Amino acid sequence: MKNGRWIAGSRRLYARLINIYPKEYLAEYGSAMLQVFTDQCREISREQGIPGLAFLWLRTIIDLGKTAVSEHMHARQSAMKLPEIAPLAWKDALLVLIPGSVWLIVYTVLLVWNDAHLYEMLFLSILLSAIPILWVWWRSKEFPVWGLIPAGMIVYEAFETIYNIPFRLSGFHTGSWLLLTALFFILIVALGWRHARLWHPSGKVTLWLGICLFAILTQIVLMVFYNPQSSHWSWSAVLSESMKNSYPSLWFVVEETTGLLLFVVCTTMFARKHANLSVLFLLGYFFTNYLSFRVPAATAGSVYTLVFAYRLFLTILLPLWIVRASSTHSRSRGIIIPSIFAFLALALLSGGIYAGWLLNDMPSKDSALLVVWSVFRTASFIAGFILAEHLCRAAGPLLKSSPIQEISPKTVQA
Amino acid sequence: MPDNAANTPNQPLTPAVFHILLALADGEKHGYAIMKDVEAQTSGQLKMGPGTLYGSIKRMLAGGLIAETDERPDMALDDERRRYYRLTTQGQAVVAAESRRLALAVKVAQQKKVLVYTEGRPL
Repeated sequence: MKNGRWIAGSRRLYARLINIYPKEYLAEYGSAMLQVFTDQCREISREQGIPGLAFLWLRTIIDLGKTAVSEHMHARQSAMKLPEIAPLAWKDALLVLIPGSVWLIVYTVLLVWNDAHLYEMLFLSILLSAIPILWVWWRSKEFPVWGLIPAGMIVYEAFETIYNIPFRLSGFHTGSWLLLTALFFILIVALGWRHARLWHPSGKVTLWLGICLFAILTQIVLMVFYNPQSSHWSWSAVLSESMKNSYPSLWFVVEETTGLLLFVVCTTMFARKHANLSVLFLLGYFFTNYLSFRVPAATAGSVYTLVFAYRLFLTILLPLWIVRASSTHSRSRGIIIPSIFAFLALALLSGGIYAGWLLNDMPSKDSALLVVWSVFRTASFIAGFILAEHLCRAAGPLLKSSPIQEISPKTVQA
Repeated sequence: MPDNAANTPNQPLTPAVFHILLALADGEKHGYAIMKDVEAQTSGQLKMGPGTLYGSIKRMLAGGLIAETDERPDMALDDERRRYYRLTTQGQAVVAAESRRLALAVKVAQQKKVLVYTEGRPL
């Protein structure tokens, strides 16, 4: 009878402890597990008495901890199913459009008044947008679609802040620049390698990666072999941090392209849940990658029109097309067509600014090369965008792995 | 019906999955019976807890290696709340393929004199 009390007590305690398993798992197997544990208690207490029961508890606690963690991880993975390729409801689409609308309004106001306080308010609102995202993520265990753009904006700001810390502390130094660039490069390669192992990217991914890298390398080569800030080639001029006379520096090219590649890879991390909607995360990068120029009145109209066109395509039309698309094909077109229009506006704008046309300066003898640089900069953006879209779609086959792979040693607790 | 290639495990099964499949090879069983069978097969070396047992069962059901059955061997002797499981055709093919793989590994180990027996037990 004494053992009976121990068995009943053990059963009650185990019934409470198994509540740490995911709810769905518990609903399916909870009572069966309790039954098996009770059977074990009965047999062991009959054969070995209370000490045997103590050893059973020891084994059971280890088993419980190990498998509860495993089941929670499985529950998370199975929750990350690709959504049906269906248009997002209008109310969800409007939520997605909020960051872009705010950004567009602020930029339109900035074009008219050029008030620096608006920037501060904008960046504060970006940081504060993390609160509702984190809250919903924590409560629902799923990252919300409308949180993708603000998340991209927050990560971009974090990236910029980290990149600029050494320069703000000690001024520009080649060593710290090389160290940071190398660190980010290693991070990109590691993330890219992990994705390649998981998803075996298609030939299209390789093609767009190649175009992206080619455009980036061309920019770097232009900066190294063509130095607009000095008539003599020198490392110090090439690595110069300043953008005197609106000329880009090598530092600027490398920082921007490293950031772009890092964002392309990070975008695919959301792909298992949000499929190619996760490209919205990359949009956050382009939102915050701001354009600000002091423009002479004579050319103000052209510059403002181009800035407005770039912002309008990127902040409203592109996300709207992506989330309201009714098929994978139209979603892909929604990603590619407006982004090409937006980036063409960027190419015209930055090319014109650097060449001196839109600044109403006398065009320099090097203006054509600066326009070429702007075109390659834009090409790397477009290629990066399409690359991210292909990577997101490549996430699909991973979810369709065979049942045998599902019970591989990595996924089954032995 | 999956093709033959799908029936062949392309990675070794975990001990828990393999021994559960073996336990069900001679007929359907409920959870506790599977647990006792596995313990007996491995001379007590593999003692699964309820979490490991049902975690493996869940993934094997999802993988189509086993199926739940409503039939009871003897209703009078058993609790009807217990859940019984049986091997599927795919499960039979997988356990056979894994057994062949292990048998081949044992053969190689014997040829290379890795396995040394004393009184019928490997050292």
